[in-house]
Amino acid sequence: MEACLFSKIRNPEVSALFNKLVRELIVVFAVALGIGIVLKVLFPLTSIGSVAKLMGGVVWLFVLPGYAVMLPWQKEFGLLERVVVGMLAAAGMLAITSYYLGLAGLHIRTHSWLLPALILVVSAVLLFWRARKAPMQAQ
Amino acid sequence: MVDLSAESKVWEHLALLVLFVTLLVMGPANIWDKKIDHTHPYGLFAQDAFIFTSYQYYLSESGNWHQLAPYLARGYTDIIQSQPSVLEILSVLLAQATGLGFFMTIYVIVMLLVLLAVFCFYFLVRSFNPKVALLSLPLNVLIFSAIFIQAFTWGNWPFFVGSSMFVLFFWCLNNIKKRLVPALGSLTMAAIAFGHTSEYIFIAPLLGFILLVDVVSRTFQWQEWKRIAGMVLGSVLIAGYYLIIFSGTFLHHAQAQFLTPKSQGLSLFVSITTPGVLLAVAVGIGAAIGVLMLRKHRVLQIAFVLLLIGFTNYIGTGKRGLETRFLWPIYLSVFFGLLLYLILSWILKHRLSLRVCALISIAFTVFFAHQYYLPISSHGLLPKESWQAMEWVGHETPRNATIFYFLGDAYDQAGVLFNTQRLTSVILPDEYISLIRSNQLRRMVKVERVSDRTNAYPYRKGLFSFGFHQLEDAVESRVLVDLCSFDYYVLDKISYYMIPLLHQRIPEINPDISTYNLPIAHHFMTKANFTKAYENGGVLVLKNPQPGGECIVQ
Repeated sequence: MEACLFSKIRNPEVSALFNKLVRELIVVFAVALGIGIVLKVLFPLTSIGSVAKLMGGVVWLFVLPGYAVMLPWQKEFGLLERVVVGMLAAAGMLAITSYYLGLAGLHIRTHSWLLPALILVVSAVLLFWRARKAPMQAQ
Repeated sequence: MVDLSAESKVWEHLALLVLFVTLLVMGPANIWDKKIDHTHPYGLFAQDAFIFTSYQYYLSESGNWHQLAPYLARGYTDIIQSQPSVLEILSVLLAQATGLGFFMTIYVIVMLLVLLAVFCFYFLVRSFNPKVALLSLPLNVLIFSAIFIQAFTWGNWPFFVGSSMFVLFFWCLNNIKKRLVPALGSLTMAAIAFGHTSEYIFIAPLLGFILLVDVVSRTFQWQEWKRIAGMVLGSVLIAGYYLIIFSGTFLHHAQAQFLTPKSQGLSLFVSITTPGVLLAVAVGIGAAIGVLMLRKHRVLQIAFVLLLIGFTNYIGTGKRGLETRFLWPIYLSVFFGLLLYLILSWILKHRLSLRVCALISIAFTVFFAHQYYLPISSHGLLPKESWQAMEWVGHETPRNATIFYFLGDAYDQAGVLFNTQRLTSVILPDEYISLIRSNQLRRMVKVERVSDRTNAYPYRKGLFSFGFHQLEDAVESRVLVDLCSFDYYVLDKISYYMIPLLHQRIPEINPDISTYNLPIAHHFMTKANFTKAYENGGVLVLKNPQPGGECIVQ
């Protein structure tokens, strides 16, 4: 299945890494969905749309960037620990970057989509660059 | 990485899930009355919380955290924003991403970061001993118990933000030997500085104590401390810009606060016996055992220092030291777990498996939740109608309009009125009572000019030098003003607690505020041609056609 999914990636180390990331992200999204359901149960007066928007916002701003930031330590720590620590780290990164970008003249209204995207892209590029460079480490 | 069997992981995740749900029930679901998408501030019980929402509005409008809104600075346009920024920035980002109101996203951010801090600290304890970690979980429930919970509802929010980053810093410190962790640690330390700078200052005694333990126990490693030093240096570089502002404003004024009597405000804060004597003794014994094992693990050293920091109010840190106590349930949970672990392992010996620990943890979590659950059954400080009127003022009046507030619920806490986003004055309660007693309006009345005087209106003179308008221009906040000089007048028609409270103090005062405010409104409309600009069930806003003209006709 994994080989089929990413058969176009020739480098086996990168392919294995890619497969692992996909597996973990599926778990992350499943847990986020579960938490969304828990929220709807515990906050019954909230509309489903609001819960969905809140979960979507939290996943976009904190979970995905946090997961990406913690990728260098994927072998040292479990997924749950990386996501928890990563969310805090992402919060810190977003706040500091947004502070300085705002001072530099970039209005905060652009930050909520720009900064998480930037963290994701930079993390992905660094990760695969490292995986290609040091195949043994990427397994 | 602590490797657990698949079965142990299931039990661990179950214990974590039970704690997560318990915390949600005791905290956010309780405070927000089971609703996330409120259309007005809900569960805010003190002006501090409202002050932060007003910062959000200006951040969202101006696009950066550079200057204080002129309407919060008595019209000065050069006041620098010296407050910590992380809370407001994250909540504005979340509001943009979700479309929820600022007043809810800011609360969501606080709750989210505190919950993450709980679980991050758990992973820290887990690296010491997974069984101790599981057994330490139930104590976290206390963060939403009586007195502790008021730190949330009264708006000690930047403290929670800085402290959650503080917990992340502990995690980095514990894993400092791993590659790239010092870089993450630098960033985390900078986030603490930006989030709540007193926690950044507390890093100094923490590192000092850890160094002392390392030296005394002969476990000192150059390589490790070089990494820690690099982490600190990196944080100074990242947060340098704000640290200059902080030292030129907050620290400048803190010299006087350092002399604050040590007992001031203690009754509002947590004491070691707040959750009960028995639990305090248990944590105390755990702490004593932990001290004997200090060299075993960083988490014991960290928890011990945080216990001590909670008492530094007696040596001059005042409120900042006391605030630390609000998160003692997280920090000291390791001592609780340690004591429980030692007792259980003495009783059960080798039968104390992770599954047993998880089950006991769940049982204690449920028991503590049952014991310490404090239902909150109020919308908070500000009625919905007052908020709606405030929003109308902020959206529909001209930018340079001046607003006069007659007495109403929550307006005695002037920070609430920061959200009008206009130059606002509010009549002082004693002055209002005097008007009522004399049964007539007068031209000159004593008001509080609503403004953010946190650091005496600081402005930048150079990179390292600051001036203070409040000191240089002798700006007074409580002054006599011409009642007829304002553009808009806000009069409440309903008072849920302010006037009834005054009625209790002075029986001659009618507990129904409309008996006073509606005749005032009638006078303005009939004698001075004021027009009704906005009205809802609880509030009336009048427009003055001729500010400065004659509005009082006897």
